[in-house]
Amino acid sequence: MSNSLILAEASGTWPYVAAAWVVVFGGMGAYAFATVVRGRRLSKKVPPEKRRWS
Amino acid sequence: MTTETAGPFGASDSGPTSTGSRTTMILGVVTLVALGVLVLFGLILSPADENQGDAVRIMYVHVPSATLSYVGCFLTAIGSAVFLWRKSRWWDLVAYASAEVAALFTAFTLVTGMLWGRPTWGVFWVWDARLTSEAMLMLLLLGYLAVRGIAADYGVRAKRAAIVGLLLVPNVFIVRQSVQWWRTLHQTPTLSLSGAEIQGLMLFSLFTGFIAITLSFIWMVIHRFRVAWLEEQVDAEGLDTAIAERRAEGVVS
Repeated sequence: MSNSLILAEASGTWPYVAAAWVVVFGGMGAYAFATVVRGRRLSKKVPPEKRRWS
Repeated sequence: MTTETAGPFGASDSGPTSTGSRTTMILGVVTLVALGVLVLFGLILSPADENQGDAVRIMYVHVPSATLSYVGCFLTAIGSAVFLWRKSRWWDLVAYASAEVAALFTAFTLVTGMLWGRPTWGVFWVWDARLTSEAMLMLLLLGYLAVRGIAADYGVRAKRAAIVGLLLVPNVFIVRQSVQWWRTLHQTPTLSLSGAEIQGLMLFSLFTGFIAITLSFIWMVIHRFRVAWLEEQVDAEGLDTAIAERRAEGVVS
């Protein structure tokens, strides 16, 4: 396979690879952030004796 | 994160001000390191596949996401079964938390699968057995979450959700076996009890993916469980306040 063909194939595949990884990492990050924010907001409404995790 | 400063309930408030704890903080750090190692091996160090080229790198996030979505469904089914058997709210919340995270991972599986399908099959989507059954699993998980959102008595809502939760297991079995039972465009499992179809750095990268995404899954389920538990407490507090107000009104009148 010539170099130009290899480059063409690589440039054709990488956007899909990048998109898949961004979806998973971005999705996990966004979900984790949203969950922590919800937890912080709710923690303020609950007495300390009912929110001891450790 | 645990803090010793005074919280909203005064100087005696020394409880954690979020859903975090020392254990989850350590778990979080280990998870971030594992995700970094996954990026290093999955995107940089592992070689391209002879047939699929770099598209194979999608496997390192797609396959663990799919596996963890199944684990989430099993956890939901276990929580649902124990709730129906012992009426345990703790297990009901375990089922709820794991169902939400399982839905997230099922969505990852579907989207990354489509992104993998386009360069390898030429299309984003085909209505073959694996993809269709996975989509059905997503719908079932959304159905479970919709039932949880219905405004109803706690016991009634939890019981209905638990019944839907039990239906997840046969669906996961169908998804898993679909590539064996029917002729599909989707490949057979890369890893099985009889061995692996990949070796070397590719196999190592896939195992790194399993470890990193499993740790992420555990972290998310723990935090989501704690959020659900806090929501329960807030709802119960609101109900107690409403009952007290109604009683006070009754005394006045």
